[in-house]
Amino acid sequence: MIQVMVDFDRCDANGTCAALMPDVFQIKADGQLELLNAEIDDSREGELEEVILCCPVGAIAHS
Amino acid sequence: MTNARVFDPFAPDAGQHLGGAFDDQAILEGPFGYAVLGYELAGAVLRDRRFQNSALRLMEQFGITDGPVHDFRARSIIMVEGEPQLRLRTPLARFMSPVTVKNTRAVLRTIVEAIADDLDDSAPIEFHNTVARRIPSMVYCHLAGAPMSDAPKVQSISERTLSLLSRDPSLTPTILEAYDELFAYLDDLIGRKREEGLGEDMLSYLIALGDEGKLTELEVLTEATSMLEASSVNTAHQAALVVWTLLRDRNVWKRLSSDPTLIPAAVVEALRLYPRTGVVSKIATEDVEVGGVVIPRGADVHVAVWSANRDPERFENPELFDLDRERNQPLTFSTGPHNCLGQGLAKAEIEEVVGFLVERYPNATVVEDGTRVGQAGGRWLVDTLLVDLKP
Repeated sequence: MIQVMVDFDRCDANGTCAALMPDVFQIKADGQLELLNAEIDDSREGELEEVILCCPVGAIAHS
Repeated sequence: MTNARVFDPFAPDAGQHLGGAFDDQAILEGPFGYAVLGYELAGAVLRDRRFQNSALRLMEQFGITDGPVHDFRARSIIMVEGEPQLRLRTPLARFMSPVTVKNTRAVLRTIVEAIADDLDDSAPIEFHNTVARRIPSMVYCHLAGAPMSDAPKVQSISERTLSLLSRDPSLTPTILEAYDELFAYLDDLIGRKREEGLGEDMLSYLIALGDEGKLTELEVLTEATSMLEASSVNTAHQAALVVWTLLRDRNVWKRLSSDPTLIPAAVVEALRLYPRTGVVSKIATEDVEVGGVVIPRGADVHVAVWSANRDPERFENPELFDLDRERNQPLTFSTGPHNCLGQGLAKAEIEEVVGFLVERYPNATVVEDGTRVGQAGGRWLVDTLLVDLKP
């Protein structure tokens, strides 16, 4: 399993991650980001890499 | 509200307001519409999709009510929401995020050094024109895979298209002409790239997405247009504003000289105090309650970023430059679904400029007589910045 990490001091809830992996990241009704799954299957490493690459504030990392 | 008579976010003296709520009100109504002054409410409005960017309305107020420029704006990334917005966002984001930008650092350094090599440092230089204004278009050329010799043209097109933001309707013909030039330039550039074969650059990536059917041909052009218009002018002013801020605080400058790892924090703090985009203007698409005030559908809502960035409720001693602030998240690049996609790149570029100055010209100073920095139309801008590199 891969650990998904969000630096909430950097996160500005722009939602790019939620668009790319909606089952892992979600923008809540109050506009803030919620990490739905802190662990994902190894097979999804490529998807997560794309999310990390696309985050405009560099707030996402993995184990 | 009586306060509106003495507070207008676009007034030349608006900066005299220290920041945050005005007479305990974090949101005010006036002839301009609504102004959001507090950090928390500002963030809430910027994250709220019920508020739409006012750029299209601004264009219409300039008399641009139809035609290719109006149509471009209507379908551009800043105006659309939902699935189309996300489809447009990720291709741009992946080339400008902090993670990607790590690989662009060496190029940024080369560009800064190339410009510096042209400088005559024996006398004070006008930093904004000779350095800050020249860098972003060169960065664009690298990113878009365009020849570096196109940089002056890119700079000029970006400056003229975005002159819309100066809110001066007499500029309408200039703006329309600049967009015509922009469309023609991109047509030509895309044609050249197809002939030469697509590369690893951002424009090639967009063209490939079009070929794969992931973006329509119109979306490819819209993306490329957005990227070019936004490439230069704001970054140039912001870079000069940061340099101006840091050079004038000698204690901070000395700390940066002795420990360059502090530069990223110093850049963020300068961005907080002097945001180029001091006001982000939105329109309510339905009635929305904000901080106890119901904003009616269609109303103009101006988020005063410069005021939010100095809100004492959010930032302790907000007027002070503090290198050690924790959780320093100014709203300079906005926030939420329409945050600035180029912010990772802009920050990296500014860090490289500051890093270069700190290393090569640790004694550089601002020559106050010959420097004009101010606020107009809700934006901080650098008219001239005279820097003595070797005093």
